[in-house]
Amino acid sequence: MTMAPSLTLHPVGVGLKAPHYNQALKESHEIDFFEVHAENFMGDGGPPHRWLSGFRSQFPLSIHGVCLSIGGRDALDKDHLDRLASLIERYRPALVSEHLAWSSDGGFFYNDLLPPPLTATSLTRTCAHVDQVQERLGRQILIENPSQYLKLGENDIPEPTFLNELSHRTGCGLLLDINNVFVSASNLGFSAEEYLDAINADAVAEIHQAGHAIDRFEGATIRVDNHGSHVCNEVMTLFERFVRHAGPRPTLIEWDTDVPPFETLKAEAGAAKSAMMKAGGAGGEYDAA
Amino acid sequence: MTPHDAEADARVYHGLGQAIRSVAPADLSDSGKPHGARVTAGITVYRNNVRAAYLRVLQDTFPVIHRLVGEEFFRYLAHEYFHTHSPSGPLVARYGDKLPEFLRSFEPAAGLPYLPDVARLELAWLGSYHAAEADCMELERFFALLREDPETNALQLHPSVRLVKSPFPIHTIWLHNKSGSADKLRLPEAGECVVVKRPAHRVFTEIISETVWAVLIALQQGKTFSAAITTAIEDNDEAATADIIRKIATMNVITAVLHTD
Repeated sequence: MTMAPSLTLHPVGVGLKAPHYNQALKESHEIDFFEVHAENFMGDGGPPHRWLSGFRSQFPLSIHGVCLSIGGRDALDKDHLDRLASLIERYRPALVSEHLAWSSDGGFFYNDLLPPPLTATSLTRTCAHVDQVQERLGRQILIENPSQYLKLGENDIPEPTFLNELSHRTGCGLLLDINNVFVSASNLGFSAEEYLDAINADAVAEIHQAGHAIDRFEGATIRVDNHGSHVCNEVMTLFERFVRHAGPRPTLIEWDTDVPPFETLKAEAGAAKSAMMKAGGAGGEYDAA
Repeated sequence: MTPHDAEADARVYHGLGQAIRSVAPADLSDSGKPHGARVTAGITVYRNNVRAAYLRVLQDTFPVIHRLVGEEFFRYLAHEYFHTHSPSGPLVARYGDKLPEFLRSFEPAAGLPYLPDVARLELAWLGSYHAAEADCMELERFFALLREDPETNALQLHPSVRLVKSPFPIHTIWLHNKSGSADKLRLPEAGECVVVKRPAHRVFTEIISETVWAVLIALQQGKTFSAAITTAIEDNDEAATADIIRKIATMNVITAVLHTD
């Protein structure tokens, strides 16, 4: 497969959804890259691969894994890692990412991105998992910060420090999900600005932007990262703040529930691009390789 | 590992995990503690997320079962299935693989005895959709190769071929509901044998005779073409044999003629 075009300055992308395939392939002049969930393309063949090959011939791809359970205490699922490796080999994407999260424990698969404990032990374990993945894939991966809904005791290591150290020890990059930072900050009661200031911006190689829901319970309100609405103003302000300081990064719009018309995603991506251009920051071509 | 880190592991992986998996909504909050309502709400979000994610997988895998039983019953079915078949692997799209088997012994659905086989047909459709690519043989080449040595020829079926047989008219039921038709359905009394295939980019389904079904099953098991036909047709009926060969040759399901000796 030939190399797809590289990511250029102020790159914006959208998460690729099946209802948009046809339109997105024809009407995406403003879109610089597409992201897909790895697990949706782990079948042997069929229409999903036909579509993805079509996109790959025109756009850089980002492959985003959601099931490796890198933040888990169990050993990684080697068969699943092999499946991811085959997919990466087949499409040679510009970006590959996973999560600081666990989905699997003691043989039960939770199908959700659950936040791990942040201790010295879990840092060592997570580093070993990231090393294993990067070695198997033969390339760098990016690790995304999780969204959190409750405080599970006191963590020993603040999350930005944990992610910086993970990146420092393994050479992995970071995927900074600014909506997740805002959701976690609101739910756990910390400062999103301080979190962003503490993250090593040099390690951040991609940004995720998404909408979230506000669920009200008796005596509590929780912000839920459901990727089902516009990026809210507060998250946009945090994004502008980060890119003003760090410069532009490949920025992806995620919208997975109540998927809107493709034009809506393009408009969200356009807003992110404008914000990056307005913020200025580092110039030149962004090297995603 | 320090006792402190071990305790953190237990609290997160075991504690949160148990709270998510338990049948009854867990109440980890202690009303005497501050933030108790917030903890309960947070756990509820995780519980809901996990259940909603698996419900979506079943809805995506079994749209016709969903339509046949309705939203409320489907949610109940998904809940019972979740607590009976613990999801264990990262191939989430395969979560519903055991639903047909589960439906067979699911008492509340006993009044709809065709559900398990319709569910099998939906799994077959999905399996065919995601199957590996392969080119089907052209008709002339197929007959030319077949003539060379029919006794030792095995036919390789396209990787997308799935075969489903039922004592119920499952294809008629499935097609009617997949199309979203609101018309009243007049059901045939006999059961149906169905082949599902994806020779190129589109999945096709077709009702086939029991004889063709039996030959295809025998081929799938690796039998030679002549042995497969002998299995399905009694008394060496030449006319019936010619019909079967013609039918299979034109079905777009054969990718290669293999010599088995």
